[in-house]
Amino acid sequence: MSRISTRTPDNVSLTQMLAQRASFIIAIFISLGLLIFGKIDDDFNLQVQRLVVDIVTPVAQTVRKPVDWAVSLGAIVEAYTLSAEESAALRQENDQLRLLVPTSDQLASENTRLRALLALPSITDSPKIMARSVTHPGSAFLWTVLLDAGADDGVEVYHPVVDHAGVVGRILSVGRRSSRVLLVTDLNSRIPVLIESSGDRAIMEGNNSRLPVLSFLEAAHQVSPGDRVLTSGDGGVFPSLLPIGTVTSPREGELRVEIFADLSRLEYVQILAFDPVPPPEQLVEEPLPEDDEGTGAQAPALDGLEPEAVE
Amino acid sequence: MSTHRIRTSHGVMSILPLLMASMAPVLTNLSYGFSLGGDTAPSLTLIIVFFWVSRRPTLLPPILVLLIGLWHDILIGAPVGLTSLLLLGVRAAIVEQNFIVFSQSFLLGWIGFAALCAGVTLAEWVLVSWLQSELLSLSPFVVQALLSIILYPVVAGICGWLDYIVFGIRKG
Repeated sequence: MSRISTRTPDNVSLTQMLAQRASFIIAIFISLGLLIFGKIDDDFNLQVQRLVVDIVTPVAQTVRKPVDWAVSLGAIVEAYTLSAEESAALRQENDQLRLLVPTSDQLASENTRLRALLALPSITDSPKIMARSVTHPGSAFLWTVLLDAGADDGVEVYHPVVDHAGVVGRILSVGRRSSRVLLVTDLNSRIPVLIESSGDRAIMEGNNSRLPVLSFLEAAHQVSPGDRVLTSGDGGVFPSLLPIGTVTSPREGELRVEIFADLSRLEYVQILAFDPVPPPEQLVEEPLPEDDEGTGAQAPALDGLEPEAVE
Repeated sequence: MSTHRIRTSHGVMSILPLLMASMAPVLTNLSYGFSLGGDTAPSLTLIIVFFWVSRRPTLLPPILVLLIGLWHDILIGAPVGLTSLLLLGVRAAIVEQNFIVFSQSFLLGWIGFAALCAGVTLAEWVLVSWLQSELLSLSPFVVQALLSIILYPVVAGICGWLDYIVFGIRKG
């Protein structure tokens, strides 16, 4: 059986060869130029992605539809095959959870009263935007995902993103109907945190692995594996006391955090349209809001504050 | 006498390599609500570009490779220009250096891909470390390269089958 080569250099004219060589050199220059420009200008990549993110997201959603149908079909089958034992266990768990409802309501009410006394905004007061993760992190050096909610839904840069388990990341760039999240594990992520048991503050630095590192921790000896790590609220991007993860055993002399959220299986998330607490000097400079209805009530001067201003 | 079907004009099907390479980052980075490859996914784009450039370089000229790379970068949020530069390097290694031997047999193609994948991985690590101004850990890059090499036979098998169906020539 004779082999047939698809390359037939004899058939390619000199002009075609020169044109191809020229286009190769131009393509290399364009790629290098874009890379160098992105290195010089930090915002360049974000601006490019902001321009095209609304094109990318619908394409990804369309491609995903057959998989969604298969997954939902599997869920229906699973629901029908749920055994009687599992149903009984779920009913029992439901009854136990119902017993906790009054206690939870009481704590929420107490929390609201105390926050009102301290004039602290509650994260429960912030509007929440539900979104679905369109992509998942899969790169060797990037931990970002696309969400199907954007500026039209009220999403802004720096808004915190959480799932049912804890903090996922923050909004990096926003299109009209989609946005990109910088996950807490990304190399560029830095989050001020506190250790719940000791109250010590630190910075949680992403390192492109599942286990971000705790740095600038003064009393590391007071921290034990298993201690919960929460947002401290410093810096104003994240509200305080959002759960992030737990401290793991030290590795290579570093304390790391095991994240509560399963970042490789993200599906539905909440974007907190959180207005951060401004520094006192900004509160003084901002005029107090007029009360049109004359009720005398004055809201804290937090609305409309851009997160960038705090950063 | 050869039993191969040979078509001189591929018409609209000429866009098949471009279409496949464009869909690759969408497929590997989609969120299905479950994890396909853990934290690091194989580089389907690299496999597809390697296959088609080694088989039919005229269907993936440098400008199309540039566009595929830019699309990949924008979709996954990578520094714009990174993947296009790496893919153009792969194209140059195959076409400009006459590494057409990769298309002569499946095993040679696999070995050739493994060698080029190692080079691309190293180049990517160096470039990203330079962009981040920090020496990054090499292990995620190595994992990605290994996953790509392991996945190559499956993807190349599908591409080879499509090559035969659409263009009418079986190789390897």
